[in-house]
Amino acid sequence: MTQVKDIEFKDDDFTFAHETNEKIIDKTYNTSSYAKDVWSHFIKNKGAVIGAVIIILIVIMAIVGPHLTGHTYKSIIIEHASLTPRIPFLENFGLFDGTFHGKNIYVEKGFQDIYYWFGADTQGRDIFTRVWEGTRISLIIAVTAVLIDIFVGMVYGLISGYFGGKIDMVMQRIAEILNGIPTLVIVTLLGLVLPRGIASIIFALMITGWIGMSRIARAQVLKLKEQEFILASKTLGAKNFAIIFKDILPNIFGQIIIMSMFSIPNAIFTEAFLSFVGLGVPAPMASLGSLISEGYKSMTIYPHMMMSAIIVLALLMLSLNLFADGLRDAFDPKMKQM
Amino acid sequence: MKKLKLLIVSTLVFALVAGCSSKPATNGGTEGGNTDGTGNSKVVVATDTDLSTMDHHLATDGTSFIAQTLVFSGLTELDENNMPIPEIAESWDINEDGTVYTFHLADAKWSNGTPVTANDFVYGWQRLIDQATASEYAFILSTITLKNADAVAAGELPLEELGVKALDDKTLEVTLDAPCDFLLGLLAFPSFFPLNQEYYEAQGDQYAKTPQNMIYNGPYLMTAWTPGNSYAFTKNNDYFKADTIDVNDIDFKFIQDTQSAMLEYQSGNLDVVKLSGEMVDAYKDQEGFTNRLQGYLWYLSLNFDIPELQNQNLRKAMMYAVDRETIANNVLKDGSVAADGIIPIELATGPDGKEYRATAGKITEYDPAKAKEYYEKAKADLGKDVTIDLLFEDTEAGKSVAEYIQNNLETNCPGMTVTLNSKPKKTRLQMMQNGEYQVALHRWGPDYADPQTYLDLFLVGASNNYGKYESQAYQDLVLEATQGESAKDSQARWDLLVQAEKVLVGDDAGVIPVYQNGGAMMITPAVEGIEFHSAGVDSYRHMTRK
Amino acid sequence: MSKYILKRILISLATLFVILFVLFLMLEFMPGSPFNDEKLTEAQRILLNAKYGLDQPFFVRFFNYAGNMLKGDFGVSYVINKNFAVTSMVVDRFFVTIRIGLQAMILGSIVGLVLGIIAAIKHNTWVDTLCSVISIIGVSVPSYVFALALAYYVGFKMGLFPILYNPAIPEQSSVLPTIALSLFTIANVARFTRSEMIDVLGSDYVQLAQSKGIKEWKLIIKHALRNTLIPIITVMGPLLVGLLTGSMVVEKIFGIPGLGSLMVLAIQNNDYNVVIACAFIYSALYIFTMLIVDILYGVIDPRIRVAKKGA
Repeated sequence: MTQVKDIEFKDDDFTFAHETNEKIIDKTYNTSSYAKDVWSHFIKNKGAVIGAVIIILIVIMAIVGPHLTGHTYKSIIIEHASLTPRIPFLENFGLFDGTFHGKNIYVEKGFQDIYYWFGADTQGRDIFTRVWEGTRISLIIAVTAVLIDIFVGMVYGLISGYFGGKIDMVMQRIAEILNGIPTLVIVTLLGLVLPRGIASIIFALMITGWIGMSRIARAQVLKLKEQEFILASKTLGAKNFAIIFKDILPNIFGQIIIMSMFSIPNAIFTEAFLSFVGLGVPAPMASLGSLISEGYKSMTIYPHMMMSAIIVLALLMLSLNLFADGLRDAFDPKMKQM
Repeated sequence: MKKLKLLIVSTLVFALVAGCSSKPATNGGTEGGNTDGTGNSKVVVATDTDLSTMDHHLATDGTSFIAQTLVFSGLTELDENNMPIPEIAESWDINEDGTVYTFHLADAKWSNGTPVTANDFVYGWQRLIDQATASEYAFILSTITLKNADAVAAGELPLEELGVKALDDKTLEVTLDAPCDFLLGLLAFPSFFPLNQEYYEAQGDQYAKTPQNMIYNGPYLMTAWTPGNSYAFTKNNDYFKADTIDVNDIDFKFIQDTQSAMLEYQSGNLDVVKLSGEMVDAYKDQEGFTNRLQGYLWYLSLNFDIPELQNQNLRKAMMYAVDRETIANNVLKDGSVAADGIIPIELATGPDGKEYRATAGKITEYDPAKAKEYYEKAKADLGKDVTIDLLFEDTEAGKSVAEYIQNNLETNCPGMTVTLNSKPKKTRLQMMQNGEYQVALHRWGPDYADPQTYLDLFLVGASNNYGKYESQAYQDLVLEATQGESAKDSQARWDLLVQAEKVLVGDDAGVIPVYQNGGAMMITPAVEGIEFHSAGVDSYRHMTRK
Repeated sequence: MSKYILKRILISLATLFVILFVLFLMLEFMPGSPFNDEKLTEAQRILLNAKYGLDQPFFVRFFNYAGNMLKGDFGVSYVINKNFAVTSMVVDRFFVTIRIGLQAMILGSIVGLVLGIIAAIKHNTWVDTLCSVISIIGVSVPSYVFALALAYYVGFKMGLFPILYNPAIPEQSSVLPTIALSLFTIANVARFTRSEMIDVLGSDYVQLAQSKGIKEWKLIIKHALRNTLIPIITVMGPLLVGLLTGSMVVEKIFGIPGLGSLMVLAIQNNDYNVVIACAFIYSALYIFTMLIVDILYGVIDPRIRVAKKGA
């Protein structure tokens, strides 16, 4: 311990906290609802807003994009195989004018009036249509998987946490054991056992995905169930399930939404992995993952085949992450990375 | 907190060490195939499937067979034109009705010094068919109609009753139930290679697991084998025709990814690389680009248990709707050719000296107008539009072809719906065996160089007739050709086979041939003489390097 | 504490047993069989299944296998390296995978830490944004794309490192796969470090230290980093396993004889015993790292120890 009496204080050791000596005036705040609070927090976060805008744009493109060019995701024009991107107007500036290794292959093959905005794949399918179709499928897979995760995980976590004791013990051990199986291993094996299709991929994604959700739900219940308002409900004679779903559920909703926002990119990524090991969506259907792994096969020769899908995927991941970060800060500024 | 400090420090040290040892490699080249001053040459080959086994009775895949033909020699081998030439057997006599072959063996040695004797062949063939070995290629002895092969395979007769005998150390007698024109060519196949009983039994279950647990009688010795990575061979100076071997060392590298393999080739570290799909486009004009034709014929197998497929109009519509030329030239681009019938080209030559397909001509046809016409008829017959499920293998080629066929059928038969169903090969086969499919993209590689190897598939009761095709006319033609009076008259038999194919493919559309598959490769221009056999194992034995 | 550890170990063992059972069950439902070729006759298939005991009832096979496994025998490979003992196949590849995984882990955490710290110090500046973008790209571009790009530019165009893995020179030839694998770790560690660091820098004791006039770098290394590291250890476990599974993809591209590529190959070939062995080892590794992380965490942070005791 430094001896206090040894220290000499001088004048310049201290400065005024508020140089201007302004008066501290209490501000009066309007009462605002929780939702309004969240909204005003969120809107202040530039990154999150940008993320939200990009997500909305991508979702819109996923809905209308596949219908813009007159091609369908599976229509093949074999003569147009492997054409590079060519976009009207931009081509006048030397951008996306359909050149490949210095030669304009559109002109060479006599397709003067044909435009493939993102190019064509090795079979002569329009990549623009396939990318947006793929975005749609990827989003459907990820969102559905996460919704199921939320439902299963929340019910499991709520029941486990609320009843506690033996029930909790057994349910937690089961979850722990399931959690012990590496996701990719189980997803890969399930991909083999189940018939090929979107439903199977969703099932494979959710088989381990719900555990994270259930943990959060359980932790929150444990925290909440000792609080007064629950006790109040109990004394008023509310049934267990009424308490769980009416009193506790609304209180953990924010956290669950944030968690799910982080889970969606994960699901999209796992689907991409499945596509790479050949267990993705069935041909000729497209998903972002299957497009990337298809394009990957000619990456050193026709990099454009993979580029557009990668850019959309990266944008989607970036904006989902930004959005989720913003949402987390808005819902609960104290909460940190999960 | 001390622990933590320790952790950080040790992490840093580890990282530094790792960093130091990861100095850039002195630029490639040293490893790649090139000729050094002494005339020793080396060829490095990329393989996209790993070497599965060096035990030639257990092998089932091309990669293993290629490695085995390098280190083992059989009675015969194939020359560049697919014709059998003497190898361990310097000469042979055939009795009058073509059922007894007597082989006279050359003075060859195993790499441990023991001579290669007729008994090694007898033992090898007995082990091949022995139930204890459970070889997946045991059937091949029945294919050549070796005496008692079926009974021995079923365990009804002892191994010694098999129709192969050592008359003395250097004379081998093979007795067949029926004449077999393709026997000599088939003897070049690794399943028929010899095995030294004494050595094999001394090794026990370690036999052929490492290069040290094998003895060799072929042009090369195996020197290294790292499963999952690489294996290597060097010239066998004790090989009885050692002077005919040019290349000293052959290395095989297992590279699953064709793009990284191609990067290695371009860096000069590899000499032989397989190309896939799009890479063909990019490299087809470069020196070293090689196309080869394989014996496999891919066709749509139709399941006749499905009511819609019993309708001949629908089958014909599908036959006309498939654009085979485009599939071969624009979708696959790897040297595959459109299938004109169910018998591939370059498979067999008739008694008149003409190649089979030249005689049989083109049976399949792409005609969208006819496809539409037949589909309308089929629709009238069935009273509704048709939905068909197409089963295919989840390989890159399988997927592209299936997607294109789907497009063909849906475009050329307006109203038809095709769903695609991809499965790993083994699953696909199992589903076909169980009849759990509608239409499947299936292949068949010839067992021997005769149209019969394909036509037998569609006989009633044939185990490979997965779709249960049944036609009296076809049955009569094929059985007359193979077992009837005509079997003894080569020309009459040939004509019947041609007719049978016309019935099966043309009249009935009982099967829809698609393409005969090829393979595109890049081979360093300095390397020559790799022999590709469409019905047999590719040979790197006579390769030369300039 | 020791009671807690013991309990955790018991749970881990139970988990492993359940996993083995689940794996077996899944393969049971997996269509196809290791012995299937268009040339095989029905009689041959029966013979082969009998030879390898695949014709026996499910539970007999399961308990036989589990029993043999305790003796370190994972059976033989049916397809990939015919009749080879799976144990010996797996052991060699295991070390290759572990080596590259660890290298990627070390590289990834160091670079990730540095990026994260820089981003935190330069909070809300362009440097921060740049680091964030790098880390987002790291988590949003599949590792196989990175891997091939590295092989193409660094390996082929620049010729700096060998493209293919070569067991004779593991140091040089594992550089590219290590970098390709580590990007995911870099991204995750950087993100996590940044948010932890910002928190720590804002905490009272750091502000106290700051007001005492301690130099900035000393402050960060001595005070802030320590407390940032503790929570980061928790993400290391899952990250390491992520690396190992990520190796499934990267190994294929660089021709590495590792566990991941073996497992994918085995799955495609219905090579049952190899699939079980690989999946089991992955699971065991995962459970083991989780266990270690848990225990380590308890040792480092006394608060958790207390909480766990209470639970």
